[in-house]
Amino acid sequence: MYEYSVQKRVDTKKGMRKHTVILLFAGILLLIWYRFPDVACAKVTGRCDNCHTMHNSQGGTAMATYGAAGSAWTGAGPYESLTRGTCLGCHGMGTNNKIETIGEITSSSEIPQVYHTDPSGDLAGGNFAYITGVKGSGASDAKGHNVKDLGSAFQEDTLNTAPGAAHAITNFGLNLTCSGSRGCHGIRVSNGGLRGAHHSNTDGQCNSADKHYNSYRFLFGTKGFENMGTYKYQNYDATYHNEYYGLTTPVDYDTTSCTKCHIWDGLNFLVAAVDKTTSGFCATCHGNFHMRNQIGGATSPFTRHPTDIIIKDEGEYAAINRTYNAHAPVGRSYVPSSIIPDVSTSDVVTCLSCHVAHASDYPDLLRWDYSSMIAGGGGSGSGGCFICHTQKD
Amino acid sequence: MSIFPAQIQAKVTGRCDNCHTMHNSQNGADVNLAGPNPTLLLKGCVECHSSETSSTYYDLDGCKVPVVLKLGSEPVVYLAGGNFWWVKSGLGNNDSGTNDNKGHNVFLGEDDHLLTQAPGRIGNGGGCTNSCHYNLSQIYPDPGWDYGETVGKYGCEGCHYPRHHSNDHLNGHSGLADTASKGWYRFLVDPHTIGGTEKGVKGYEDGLWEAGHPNHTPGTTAHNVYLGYDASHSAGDLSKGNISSFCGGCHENFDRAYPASTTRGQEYATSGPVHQYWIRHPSDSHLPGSGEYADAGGIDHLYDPLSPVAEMWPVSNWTPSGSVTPGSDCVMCLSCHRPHGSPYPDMLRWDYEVQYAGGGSTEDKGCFYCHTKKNR
Repeated sequence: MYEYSVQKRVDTKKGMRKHTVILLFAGILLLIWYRFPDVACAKVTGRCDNCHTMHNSQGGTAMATYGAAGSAWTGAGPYESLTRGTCLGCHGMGTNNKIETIGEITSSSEIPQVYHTDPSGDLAGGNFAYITGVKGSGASDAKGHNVKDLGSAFQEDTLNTAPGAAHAITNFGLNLTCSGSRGCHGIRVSNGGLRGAHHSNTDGQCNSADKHYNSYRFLFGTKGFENMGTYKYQNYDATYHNEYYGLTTPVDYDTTSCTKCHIWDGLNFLVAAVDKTTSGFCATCHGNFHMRNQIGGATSPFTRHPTDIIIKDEGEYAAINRTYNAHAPVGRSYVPSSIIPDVSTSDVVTCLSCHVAHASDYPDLLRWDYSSMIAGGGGSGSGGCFICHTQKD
Repeated sequence: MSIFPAQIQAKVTGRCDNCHTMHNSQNGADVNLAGPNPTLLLKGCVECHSSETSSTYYDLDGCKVPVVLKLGSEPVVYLAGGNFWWVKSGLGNNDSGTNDNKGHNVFLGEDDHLLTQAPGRIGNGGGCTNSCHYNLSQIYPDPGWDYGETVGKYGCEGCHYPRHHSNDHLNGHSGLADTASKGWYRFLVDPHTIGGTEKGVKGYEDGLWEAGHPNHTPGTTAHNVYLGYDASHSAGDLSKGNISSFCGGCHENFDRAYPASTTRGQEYATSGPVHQYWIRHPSDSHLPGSGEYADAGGIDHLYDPLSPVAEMWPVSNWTPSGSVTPGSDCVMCLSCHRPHGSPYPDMLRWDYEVQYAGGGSTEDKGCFYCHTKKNR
């Protein structure tokens, strides 16, 4: 009995120690959670007045003056949501920085720039400054998406609808905007499509994409992994880049089924990325360039360059350099939880493998100069198309 | 009750000579060396409503006098309206106007160094020059047209039309002030209507002027009750008595104006029945009952005098509530600002420079009393 009693005390003591350790550990976790509740959810941070002005008045002058000097998008406000600039006003300051830091050091905010002159490179989406010619080899409509926000001088002169549109989207070419009913970011409605996104932003792995704020770069319905660590917003190299989500086979275009591109939210049919892929998002406007029955099926020979198709581990593709190439990013058939530095045999080609979303220095928003892609020229590892089509150069 | 009318009619109480001098003369000497004051007052507005010992109120022969200018050291506590200490040159300010933006610059000759007119003022063909629409620190001359009751006045009287003997609640007690005979809420009147169909601000006055700011405990019922009005009205129109329209008399562009346009007011409603985004921070608008606003005041929805909300017109029960009701209560100018002065730029009730979005804080104070999710 005594031995049992002693043993019981020992066991009890051990149990208490164990519970104490568990409780301590749980406490530490709780403390970490309390201190950093949103470590996986990097919303906009910084002083409110970095981005907002309550009345657009300070010392008798306007506060909503963000934007590149002399540009069409730089005015005196006031602007919706009490911001100090339009979309481009905040994200197109025209400075020498691809990421602009505003505010005081201890309470600053970082704003990714889509219009800048930073010679060290652009963010993953490209740079609208190639359209205006402020950066690059000269102004050209063909170098990017001519968002209306750029001003009348840079409106699209050639197109009057999205090329490859699966069905008519009247006058889209002249009315493309950053967000809104004819925009890319946020929910495609005329009223409040981006409301709340910046303050709720989920970055890193975006694996739900059922709201604008948890969609990849606010592209409603698009899954992906946002590089928000080192070289944030950039496809810098194999170690630091975004991850794009794709499928191994695109869907068919079906005129009887609106729900491939549209979802019902109880009030409206909203436009959302097809199958939640990056290319499926592009397909909401450029459907003929994506849908299986518009590209010649799911296997070669294709009638249009495929997207959301596995880059086969055969033929010339078998010789692809398996180190991730930030100049020709591939998609994954799942949403990675971290950046993967390699290219696997199950990875897929996406629209963004060849194009950037905003603008590049090359026609057709290409990542490289198509006119210098010379087949049979004897080159080796010459980049561009030949990153995948390894034997054609 | 009629035997003791003074106790139910809230006039100023006490000996006449507490506040007045009949001839500005006593024993052969001037009572006020600067000369007699209007309405035979011993002192000017701020002189009477200032104190070196108290920053809230002091006792004048049994009558509580609210203090709007603390003399000497910086006030630690103050009234709902704040305190002019921070903008008074030689106290919280200097001749260079370093802190001009911390309050309304009501002191004679102490012009605002930054502003040349009331911010948010909408030009009306050049009218109202040299009026309270431009400054509060110069005497307004008679322009030959309607300047209301402000001609020859300046400072406090740009906003207040004092009626200390009006029949509102007893001094030191709380009560509703919603008519001219009651002096309106804190004597805030549209000066252009005096003598005609007078319009003033309506509200429930806390008997002690919410003395104790900024340290009130949320949930208290010892507070003013302000009036909001979210239906169509012109900027500055006091027909309903809403406090924000009073502010809008000078700061029209910051007032809620219907129908809105893209060039003025708070809203941007270019088409359709639905508001688009706000383009200026709203006032006279319901605090939404959804989204982050549904959590205003925390789990218990405690009314916080630091971030007061208004009752929406029409008000059937003016009794102060200890709760805030998202979806029903109203945001107003005074939700964020103190009309006299505060320790913070733009007369804010809190330091805007430490309002940090996305910082992980769970203390829902300042902007985050309403914007409950933007600090987390």
